[in-house]
Amino acid sequence: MGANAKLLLQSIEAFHSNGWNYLVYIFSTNWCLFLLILACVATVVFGVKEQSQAVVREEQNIL
Amino acid sequence: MNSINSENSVTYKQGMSSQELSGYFKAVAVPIGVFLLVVFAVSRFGAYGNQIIAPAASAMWIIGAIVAFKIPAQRRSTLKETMISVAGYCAGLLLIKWLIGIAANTSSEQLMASFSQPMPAGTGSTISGFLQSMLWILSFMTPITVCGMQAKKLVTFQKTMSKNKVLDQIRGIRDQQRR
Repeated sequence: MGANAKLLLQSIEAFHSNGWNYLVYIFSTNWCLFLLILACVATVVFGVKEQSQAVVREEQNIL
Repeated sequence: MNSINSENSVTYKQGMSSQELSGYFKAVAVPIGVFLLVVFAVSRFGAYGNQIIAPAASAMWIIGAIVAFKIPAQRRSTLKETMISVAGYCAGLLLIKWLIGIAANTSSEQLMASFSQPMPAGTGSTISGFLQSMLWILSFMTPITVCGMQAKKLVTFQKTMSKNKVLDQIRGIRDQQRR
């Protein structure tokens, strides 16, 4: 592996590690973001439920 | 239509249409997209984002989710309103932040040149101040308005429900008297 490719991979790793650590930091220092996650999950569940209730599946048995 | 062969019978079962699939996709992708927008706005604003935008956006969203849970008949419209409100709130604040950044580098001489007319010497800082006031007003007024609107919806629904309950009870008493 060339030196440039190795440097590139290390940079990508550092970028993702930095981003992930920042996310962990803001989520651990602000409890409001947990409320936000809760509300987001509830919205997804309600939306999927609404969508499934709006659909009627037809099944026909032919003997 | 998919056909399934079992013993002596054929069952035709309707598969998932593309419209249905896109509906499910929207139901999952839109809230996740709005959530990412909120996290982006909070991280871009630093301490202001942590202390003002995050609680305000959380309050708007959680109240919307509670109203959607309590009033199933208006669930779809409530979720849509909540998503639009939260996304619009964050997008509006980011837009004003961007405008403040532009106005910060503008001098009154540059404004005079761009409008081709004399302007007061402090115009550059006035625009910046105006945008900052707008940012503060928007960041407080939007959550208050949205939360108030959702709370009103909930109170009106509960009042209607209790009214219907009382009317049903009266009808029930009348029916018993007739018998």
